Amino acid sequence: MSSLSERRPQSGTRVHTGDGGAKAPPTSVVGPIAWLRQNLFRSTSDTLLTLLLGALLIAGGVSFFSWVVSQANWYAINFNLRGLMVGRFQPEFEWRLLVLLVLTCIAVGLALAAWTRIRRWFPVAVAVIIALLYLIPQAINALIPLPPTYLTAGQITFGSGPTAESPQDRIAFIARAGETVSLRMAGEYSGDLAALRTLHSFGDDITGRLLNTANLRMTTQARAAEIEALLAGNAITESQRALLTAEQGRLVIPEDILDEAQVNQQPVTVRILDGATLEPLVEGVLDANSRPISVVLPADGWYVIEKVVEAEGSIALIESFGVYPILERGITRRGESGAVERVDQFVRMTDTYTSEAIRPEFDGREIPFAVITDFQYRGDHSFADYLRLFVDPFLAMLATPALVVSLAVVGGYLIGRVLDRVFPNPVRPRAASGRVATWALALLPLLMFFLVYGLGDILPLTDPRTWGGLLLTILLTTWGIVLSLPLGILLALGRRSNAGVPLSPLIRFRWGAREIRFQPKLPIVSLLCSAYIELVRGVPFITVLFMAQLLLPLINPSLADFPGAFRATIATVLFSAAYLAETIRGGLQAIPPGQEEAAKAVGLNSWQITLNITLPQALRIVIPAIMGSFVALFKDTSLVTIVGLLDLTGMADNINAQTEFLGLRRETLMFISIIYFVFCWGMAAVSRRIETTGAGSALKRQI
Amino acid sequence: METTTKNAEPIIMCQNVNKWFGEFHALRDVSVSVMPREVVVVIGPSGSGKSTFIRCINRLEEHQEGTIIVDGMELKNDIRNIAAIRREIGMVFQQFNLFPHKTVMENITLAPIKVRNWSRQKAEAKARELLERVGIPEQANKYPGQLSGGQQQRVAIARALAMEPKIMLFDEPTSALDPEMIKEVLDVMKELALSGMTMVCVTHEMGFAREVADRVIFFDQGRVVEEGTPEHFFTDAQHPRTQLFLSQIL
Ligand SMILES: Nc1ncnc2c1ncn2[C@@H]1O[C@H](COP(=O)(O)OP(=O)(O)OP(=O)(O)O)[C@@H](O)[C@H]1O
Ligand SMILES: [Mg+2]
Repeated sequence: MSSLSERRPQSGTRVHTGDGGAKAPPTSVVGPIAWLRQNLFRSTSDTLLTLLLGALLIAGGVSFFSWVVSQANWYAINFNLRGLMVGRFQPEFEWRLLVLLVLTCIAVGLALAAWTRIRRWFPVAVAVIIALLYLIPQAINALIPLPPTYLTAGQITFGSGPTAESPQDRIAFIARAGETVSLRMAGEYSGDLAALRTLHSFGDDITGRLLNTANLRMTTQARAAEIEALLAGNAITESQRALLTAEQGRLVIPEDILDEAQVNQQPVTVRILDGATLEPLVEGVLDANSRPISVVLPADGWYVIEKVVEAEGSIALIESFGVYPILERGITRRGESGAVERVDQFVRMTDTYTSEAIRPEFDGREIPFAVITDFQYRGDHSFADYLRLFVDPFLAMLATPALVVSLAVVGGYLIGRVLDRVFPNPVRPRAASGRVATWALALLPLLMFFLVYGLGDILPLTDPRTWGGLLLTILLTTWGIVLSLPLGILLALGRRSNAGVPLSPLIRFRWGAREIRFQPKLPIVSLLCSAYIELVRGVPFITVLFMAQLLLPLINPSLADFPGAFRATIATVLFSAAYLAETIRGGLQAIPPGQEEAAKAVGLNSWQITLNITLPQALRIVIPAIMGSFVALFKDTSLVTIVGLLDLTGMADNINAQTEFLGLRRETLMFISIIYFVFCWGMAAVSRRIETTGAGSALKRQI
Repeated sequence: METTTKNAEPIIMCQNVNKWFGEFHALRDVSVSVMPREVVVVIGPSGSGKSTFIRCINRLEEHQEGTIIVDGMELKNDIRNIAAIRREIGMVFQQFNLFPHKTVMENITLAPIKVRNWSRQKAEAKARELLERVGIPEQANKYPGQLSGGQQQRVAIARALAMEPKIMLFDEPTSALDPEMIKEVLDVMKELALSGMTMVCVTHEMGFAREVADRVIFFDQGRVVEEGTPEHFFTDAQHPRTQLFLSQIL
């Protein structure tokens, strides 16, 4: 109200002539400090809450990340990545999944070109990420050596009876041509129990026992000393004294093999043999002062380490580089002749190098190799080992797929751009790419069916029982969405049909003095749809799933052979459609009646009105709700585990049931949670995007 | 456009039309005829049945007794008849009722393409011509939500005209508009009236009635109370109800 911007004419009317006098806001309401004050420390209670939540977040975050880095064993993920992604999908058809992936990415690229504005930094960011995916593993490889593996030699027995075990004289391992294997005495640990106890790395079974014994012995000894000191003093009550005495009686200090046996005191003869011929490649004697024995391996495949300590009662702890734990896994596949064959694969834990060569034998017996359960990384991982053991192989596996995906998306995007150039549309500049993208996305579910399942003679059928992991989850979701949406629309229209246009004749009759008029408006259809919707909504999804699995064969015995994946799809569709129907009906209800009247007035018939006027608007209104249903459907597919399908969740369970991966449930659950989250988040982002495109933004303003 | 003359058969003929909403008697023995090229303005107090009457003419409401004959076809339950009659009648609503998910161009071309089976080119050419006629050729590719009320109503008129109807019905086309926009819509309607379109307008724009109407019909409580030329109405209304009503709105 400054006098400068106003004149006050005599008459008493006011005329505002200034520009409104906009000023910059005072600094107390902008800037980061102000933001903090306004959002986090507005009042005493706000401040307290902020501090409390902050402390909780930090505490939780720190312990979570320390678990991720130092305790979690992520090799269950690295090892089973293929299973988690595609289940046991037949490897000979895997190229079809790759084609599907590429086509999907091209469609996504087209969609990006048609409906989004790509920020300038976005392609740069993607390029940087992919470069990093390639470079980070390289850097980790170059900078961080793999941790050593400890092998024990000697003629000593751990335990007694059937569980008694001695170090293996020979142990087999796989390695690749050009790799160096070197062995040396773990010198620093000569006879030093305390040092032995702090050993963190891989070790064979016996080494593990050795270290555990050392650990337990030292812990018990420490406790015994503590109790002794307490009992000697006067600072405790009688009842405490009694308790401590009882504990002292119970303490058993493990028998110390290290008392009789000397660690790394006697020389050990080691030989590295070729796995096939058992010819020695290198041979030598190690003692505390000798130089390491090493050899560069000539070929991929099996090798054997032979280690013998001549002196009785002596143990050698050998630190070996280039010898890593392996896992044996059996897979079934179709061989070149076309027959199904079972193959034993040996997979190296540190880099998933896989060999199918036959295991070496000695004296007619297969030489033992260190499996992961025997060869656990003992103790907490160091950050360097975490990077080298888990991050490096994971990123290395991710890099090429990520590159393929990005290139396909970029390709699709460029195709879209070129289309818009070639078929210019002055009104809507991106009409061409929009049209093609729509078609591409609409065709994807069909392509998915043909590529994953098969198509007559062109693409032989795959076995649906082999579908699993993320692939199965995506199949169930996609087909569920694509089939349940039209079904839901039909159900919604059917349920509303009694409120629709009069299609049936008017029935009139007299009742006494009054004339009764009655126009049945497709009541049967409406009734059936309502009954279906209410019935399905009143039953848990699990029940529907079980019905699809168990009751279907009762209807017709031939349905017993119907693949479970398809039955689950049908159950998903039937279930989801009922919910979608109600959502869509809500949308139809929300369309102002004037829309239908205007459409009638220009002469459209009832189907034309539904297809062109009411349904498109209703669907647009309920996009958020529909996308919510789709996200729910995506997550609900995890229930198919219960009927024996190995979707993403089922695969995680399956992994955790294998002996090699026992106790790694947290890691697998964490990993699939991330995958579920990424997909749900993506669906939500797409939904937000659709809500604001084209007519959507204009529609919002009017409704 | 029109070839019929004013002396031909009435193009709309209503005889003793009765309509009930449940127990409520909304139209009572309404008999009205409209000649080709005639402009009829319907006035009356709120709730008197004006909307119900003109909505009966294109079967948005169903009358229960009496006959309505439009362009020689009687409105009965026969769906084909209804469709044929709707093709000949354009309607403009108070709330515009444009299709918000379609552009202006799509709003106008939808019915000609779907109902008249015109080619897209033909429908779009017609639409452009009509947009030119209602004075907003530059808005063709906007969505209704991006237009002002007056522009939306003019699009609605263009949409109705695109079907090349013989009759246009207007149900209070200007009542939802700001005074500034009323004029632009009325101008379009006047131009339409002068071009010889048969029009039935529910409106309280007395200036418009005086200027272009051939006849004014006054409704009260579902009945036609008085009927006559605009001069008759504004100078010499007979019925006390009419006089009261006119004294209130003039
Ligand atoms: N669908 C309906 N169901 C029940 N009664 C209705 C319905 N439509 C209109 N009516 C009633 O019929 C009477 C006439 O309504 P109509 O809409 O024709 O009035 P109107 O003359 O157009 O009034 P206004 O000037 O307010 O638009 C009103 O009393 C109204 O309450
Ligand atoms: Mg009305």
